[in-house]
Amino acid sequence: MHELTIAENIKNIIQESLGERKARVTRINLQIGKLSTIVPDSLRFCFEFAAKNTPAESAFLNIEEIPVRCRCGKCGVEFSIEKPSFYCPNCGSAEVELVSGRELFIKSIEIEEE
Amino acid sequence: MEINVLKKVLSANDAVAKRVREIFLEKRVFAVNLMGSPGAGKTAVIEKTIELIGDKLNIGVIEGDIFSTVDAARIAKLNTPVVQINTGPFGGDCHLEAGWIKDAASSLDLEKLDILFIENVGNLVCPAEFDTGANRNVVVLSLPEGDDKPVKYPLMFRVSGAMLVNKLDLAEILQVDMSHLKENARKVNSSLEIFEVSALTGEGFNLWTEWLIGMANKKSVK
Repeated sequence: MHELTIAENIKNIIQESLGERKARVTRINLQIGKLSTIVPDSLRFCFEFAAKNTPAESAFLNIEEIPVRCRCGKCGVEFSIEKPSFYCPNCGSAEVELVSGRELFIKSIEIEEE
Repeated sequence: MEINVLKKVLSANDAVAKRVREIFLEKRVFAVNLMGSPGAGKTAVIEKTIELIGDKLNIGVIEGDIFSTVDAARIAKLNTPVVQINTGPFGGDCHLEAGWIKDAASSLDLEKLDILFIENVGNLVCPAEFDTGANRNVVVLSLPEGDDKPVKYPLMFRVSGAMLVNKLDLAEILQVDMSHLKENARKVNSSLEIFEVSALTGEGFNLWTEWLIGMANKKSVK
């Protein structure tokens, strides 16, 4: 259910970005890491509710999923993982740091000025 | 027309969390964000910890629940300062955010505390996403939940610095494969500190409290 909180944060950031500008938001370009706990459909549903009566109320949420990428702390190799198993495929070390996958990021918005 | 925004969605919460962490540092209190499923034994772990080291260190508690003051009442019985946060009576927020913690902490005398437990809302999903400003995230996983939880909820176990495997007193009945459980946890987070405990009997609490005291001392030394 925290998608509603996320949706409200997105709405607030968009309102800040728009400032005094009179415009309709048509598209919101988001990046969401695969390790994040966001369900895109649920976020879309919550955003529709959160953005009601704002310039973003009919905006399309374009969600780019970011893969979980890691860097091995031992051998330095970078790799992606599809399953929650943080082992280096090169040397087998479990000492891996996250490079990407936790994103919850608004890249841009597309607007039509009134 | 496209406008670049380039902003983290949770940047507002992150900024408050950063401020909360600064406050904890100024007041020299070690804050632990305790997370886990409903019924994992988070409150019981806090109660047992207070019982065992409450005479050596000053402990305070922030209780987070969707509704009720049941947990705060349990802690208050132990003569421990406690604040209850309710996120909403009919389906409030499923997690705590830094703003709640900042408000709740302001009603505690932080100067007098060595350790502050923040008991998050029972949930293995949402709380993992929000920085509360605590110094460490700790997850409580109880044996009846099964050995597969770390791989089912990877973010929770990835963001945690320590894991308490609780309800050790049920190990024989449940026949849980403890090595498999630990393997699953380390698969997700190799640096996770693991403590096997029973909040009912106090088994295994010596290592957990040692770790806590060590962290709290490090904090006061800076």
